[in-house]
Amino acid sequence: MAIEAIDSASVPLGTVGQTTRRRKRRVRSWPLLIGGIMLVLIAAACLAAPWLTSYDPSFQDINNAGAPPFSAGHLFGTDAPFGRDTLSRILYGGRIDLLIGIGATTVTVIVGTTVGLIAGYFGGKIDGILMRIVDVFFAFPFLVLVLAIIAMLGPSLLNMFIAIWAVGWVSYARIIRGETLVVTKQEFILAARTLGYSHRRIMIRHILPSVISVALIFSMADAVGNILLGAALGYLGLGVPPPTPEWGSMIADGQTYMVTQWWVPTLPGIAIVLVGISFSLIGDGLADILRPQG
Amino acid sequence: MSATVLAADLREPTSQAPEPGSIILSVRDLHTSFNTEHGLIRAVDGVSFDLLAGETFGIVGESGSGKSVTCRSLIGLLPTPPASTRGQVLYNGRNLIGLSTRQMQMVRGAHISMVFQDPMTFLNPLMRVGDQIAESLQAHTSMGKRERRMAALRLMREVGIPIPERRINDYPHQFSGGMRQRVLIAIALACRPRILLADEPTTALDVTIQDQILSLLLNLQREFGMTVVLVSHDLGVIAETCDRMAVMYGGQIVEQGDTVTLLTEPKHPYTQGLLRSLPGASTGKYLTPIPGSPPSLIDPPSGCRFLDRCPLAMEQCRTWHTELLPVGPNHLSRCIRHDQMDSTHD
Repeated sequence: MAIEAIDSASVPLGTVGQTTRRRKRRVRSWPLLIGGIMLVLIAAACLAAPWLTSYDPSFQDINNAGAPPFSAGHLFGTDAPFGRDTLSRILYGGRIDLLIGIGATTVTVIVGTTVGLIAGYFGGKIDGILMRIVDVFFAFPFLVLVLAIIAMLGPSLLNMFIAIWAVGWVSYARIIRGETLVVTKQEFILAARTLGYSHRRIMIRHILPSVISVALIFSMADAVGNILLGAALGYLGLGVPPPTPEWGSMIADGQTYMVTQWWVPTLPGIAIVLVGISFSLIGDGLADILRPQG
Repeated sequence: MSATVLAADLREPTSQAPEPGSIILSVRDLHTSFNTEHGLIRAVDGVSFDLLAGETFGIVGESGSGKSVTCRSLIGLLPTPPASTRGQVLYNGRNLIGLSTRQMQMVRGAHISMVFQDPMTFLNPLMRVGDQIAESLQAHTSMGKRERRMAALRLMREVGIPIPERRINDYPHQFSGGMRQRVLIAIALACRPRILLADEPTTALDVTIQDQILSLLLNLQREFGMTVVLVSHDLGVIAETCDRMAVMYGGQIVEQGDTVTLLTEPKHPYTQGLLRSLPGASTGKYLTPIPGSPPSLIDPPSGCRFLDRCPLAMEQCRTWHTELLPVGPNHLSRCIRHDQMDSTHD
């Protein structure tokens, strides 16, 4: 065909086959790349904990309690007063904290997005009812509600998840509802209705792709929030019960020794900060890519 | 009647084409109103017409005359509330007004499809055009993925998109306005609907492209034996393409008949005024505008809606309960002075 001929003529000689379109390797977002690499490294280190450290996180060596970093056999020292290896506690604890960050957030994104889509798409009474429920949740401080639920159910990892799931979806519902309201008014949605598409098809295939980016970007900040919440609950003693290592409870336990053995609370604190930074970078990067207009 | 029987009834759009010239859709006393804070807007007020299989039926009128709302009411596209529609839209012996959402979804796209004015905004910007064309087939048929892709390619070829193999994975923003309108037509025709509602399909396009799109529509209509309802404010477009036409004013049909008869011997002062305001249609040097502006559709007064702008108005027009009067073979006019039209017709 004529046009193909012209095209292939413009391709330098020697290129073979159809994949003549050159693809430039260009980093679309540095924050996304750096944040992603950081998070992958942290997650890999936590998953590979058994190979990175030879200590069981609960193994106590009272005689060696409060050993400073870089002391023999303990890169990050040991905690006081039990003499548990700080490195292995941070690595094993990271599993819990990352699980909270990712697991809790995934569910809230899905539930909140679904509710927001339904409310924004159908509008009217359905919207009214769903949004009043959301308002009720918003009327209470987030942390207070989570604390109340955990206090009712008793502290455990699962109950912490349940509490975050129960409360966290409301932000997504509200964000997605707003975006959905805008997109539903678009004329291509009218066109989709004209073609006899079902409500579910329109919501999933035509509205969701336009609105999901906001939820994804927000979810990165939310994941950090949930990790901090997990740490805060651990700090308050309502998180994962001891002796399971968790960064928040490590900080809480270690704060008594801040003056004499600074590394005990400081190192898990740095771990939280690093995870927080990597999620934030990913969120920024996603915002750059998915919302180019600003 | 149970829902499943009805469903089976509506599922097969292309089972057998109705005989050309037979009535395929019958609209009876269609009323659509919008409940707003300013009052009840009677956007469509007692519209009746028949669509004959294979014909092109034109609806002409100015903005706000109710032509688009009529079209959308036929397939229940208006949001309820604020809109409410009553009357009869008979298709296959069934009243489309009052069908459940699911039943209506089976009619839309498969039996009655629609092409819109603005190809920029009626395509989903985030979906490849090939997927958008194939999606209608996914929703209404049991075709597999490969089949749908082949069908999309065929449709793109049918609507005159050059080298569809190269364009099928492009996004709408990569197409020109005319090509986008072709894509919209391909989407609307994917399931081979019997009736195509074309709501100002060429208004957003420039004149040369308008012509191409119109002739494309007419060619496809002939090829598929489709019935086309062409809505436009452009009398020229209607005159060129339609077999029969209706003129709408203030939510009502004021004149209806064969295009040729209606344009050569208009029997309603509004149609006359429209013709006189067309360049090249009047004998004088200047175009003659219709004075005044259309009536408000909130609580319209009884009597003739065109009264305030009509050169033939008389006291009787104010109280007359208006209706369409036969003024010739297949020719209706909503004017009691239709027989005195010649005196002002130049």
